[in-house]
Amino acid sequence: MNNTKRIVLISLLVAGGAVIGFLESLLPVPLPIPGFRLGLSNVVVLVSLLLFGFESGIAVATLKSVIVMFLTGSVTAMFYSITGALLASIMMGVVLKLFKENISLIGVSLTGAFFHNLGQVAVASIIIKSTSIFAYLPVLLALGVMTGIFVGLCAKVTVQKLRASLAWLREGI
Amino acid sequence: MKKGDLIIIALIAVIAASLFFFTSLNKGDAEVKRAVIKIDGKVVDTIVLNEENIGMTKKYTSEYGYNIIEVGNGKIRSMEADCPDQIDVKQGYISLVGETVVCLPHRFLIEIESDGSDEIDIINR
Repeated sequence: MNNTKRIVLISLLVAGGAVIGFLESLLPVPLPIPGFRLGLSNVVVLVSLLLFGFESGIAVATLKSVIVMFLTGSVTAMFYSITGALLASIMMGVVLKLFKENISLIGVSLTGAFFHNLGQVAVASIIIKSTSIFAYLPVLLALGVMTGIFVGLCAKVTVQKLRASLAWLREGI
Repeated sequence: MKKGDLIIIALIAVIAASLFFFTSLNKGDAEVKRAVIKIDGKVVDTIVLNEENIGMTKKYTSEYGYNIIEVGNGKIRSMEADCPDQIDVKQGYISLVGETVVCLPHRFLIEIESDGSDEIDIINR
């Protein structure tokens, strides 16, 4: 695989993910549950993990989160979600590596949603020094199944479109 | 969807259901309730949710912003705040022991506790 093409596509994925993440932060939260969001920017992490492997996926997740933090300027809010995003992308990479044959991007996305919620609730409970907010976790996890399936489907379509239009992606993997 | 995806959905469902079961064990109503207000993990105020305090509003300001609480009949809510997401305001009233209103951007937390310890105080007096 041509290294320059690879770098360009990864950069585009980071940029795209940052824009999606920023736009999502502008949307009003549909449900009054702390920490709930669609997580559509996770699409670029899923695509990177599948096309370019573990390290690239983690890199895209980290860069995307940091850029969104600078765009929104809300450091406190990002404190919760960066931990969730890192934990989620690491676990998604592990799951994809271990069960590649038996799992689709939907399952990987669901794993990501699960660990994102777990991570951010854990960090939030440490920051506000109260375990009572773990009461929100079951609801977050249940909603995460729905958003996770949706995000996984989006990632699946994105990979199909990318492979259909970029020949070098098909040769590479 | 592959078989592995369904197994993951089932696993998450089991974990969420059991967590829901355990967290709901701690929730319930009590005769005497008090709301504990915490900012940044520190208790800044305690309000007994009795008839005397119905209609009471109070403003809490910290380096992160402000939250105004309002006490109702055995319930409490965050009435107004200058946080960007307004999640704490949208949550509305809470009334059960163990329920919380959280404003993560302000590290602000309202938690309802049952007032067991104060009853002991009354007996001691």
